[in-house]
Amino acid sequence: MADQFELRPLDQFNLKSLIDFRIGEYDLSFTNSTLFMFLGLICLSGLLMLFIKKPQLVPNRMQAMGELIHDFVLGTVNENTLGKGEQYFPFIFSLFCFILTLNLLGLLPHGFTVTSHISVTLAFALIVFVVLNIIAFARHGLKFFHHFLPEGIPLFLAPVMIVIELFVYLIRPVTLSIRLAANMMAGHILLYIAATFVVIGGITIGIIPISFVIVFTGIEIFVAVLQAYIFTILTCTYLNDAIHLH
Amino acid sequence: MDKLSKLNKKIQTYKEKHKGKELKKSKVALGSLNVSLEIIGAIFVGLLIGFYLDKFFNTGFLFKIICLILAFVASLMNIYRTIDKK
Repeated sequence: MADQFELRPLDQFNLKSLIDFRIGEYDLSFTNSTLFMFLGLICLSGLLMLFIKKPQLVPNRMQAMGELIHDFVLGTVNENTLGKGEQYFPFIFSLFCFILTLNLLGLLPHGFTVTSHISVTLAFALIVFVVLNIIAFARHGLKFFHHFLPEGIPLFLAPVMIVIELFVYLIRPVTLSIRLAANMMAGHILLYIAATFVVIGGITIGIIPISFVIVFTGIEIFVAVLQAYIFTILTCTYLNDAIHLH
Repeated sequence: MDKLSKLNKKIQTYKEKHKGKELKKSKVALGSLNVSLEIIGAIFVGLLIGFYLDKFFNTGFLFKIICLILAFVASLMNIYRTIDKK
């Protein structure tokens, strides 16, 4: 029974290049990851354009959906930055919507989860890190380094606290990326393994694993939305730290 | 009943003292997987920084150990700040 199929749970995350394209040493081929990023872009921009197609003062159904997402993210930004972060709202809105779309596209049948690769999520986290650094330096100049020394610390603890604060600051982009990538990857691996139990169980015993797969797919949709929300809310928290120097 | 009324009075004075501030529950639902991922990620970054500092100063394993411990402490502080923001 075991040699009829191979158990390869990590094969679903393999990058397959669909159109090969190299420039010198750099491999810029069009992979399935790129394909799903384009799909996410097209779906997201198409959906957002549908939302604002016929704007009215009293919103119709599509406009109400768009206003729901817009007000949700705007509320998150204003709540976490105490009202001062509204000028950075477009950046955070596009971040939230893009990560949400990429997470949800992975749950379609034969869908590839782009955000399960640490390279992609590290790119997101480093963009956030660089942008927040630029914001903090532009607003505060050299007083940015006051961030590393919290108030009310006795003087003999100051060097240790400065080093630990520096580490806390440097750890943020890495944990931001690992959290998203690991949650996506873990969910999909678990779904794959439960699905192989269905194949092994057959028709009679296979009812149990398939009900688990159904319930867990629902949980995975929730986790996809929640992880996009956690990424956004932590970005807003770090943005608050960048705007007000703690 | 005397003890109860005294306790009531204490509760009333405490409530009036801390009237404006309410306990904020954490908005970010960090499950066990996410908390452990923070610690692992922090150890990874700490070892990376320690490795390159060691290469720069040629000290063998001193900076690796120091940065490992500091990064672990930093991860705990990060978790505390995410969960408990007042």
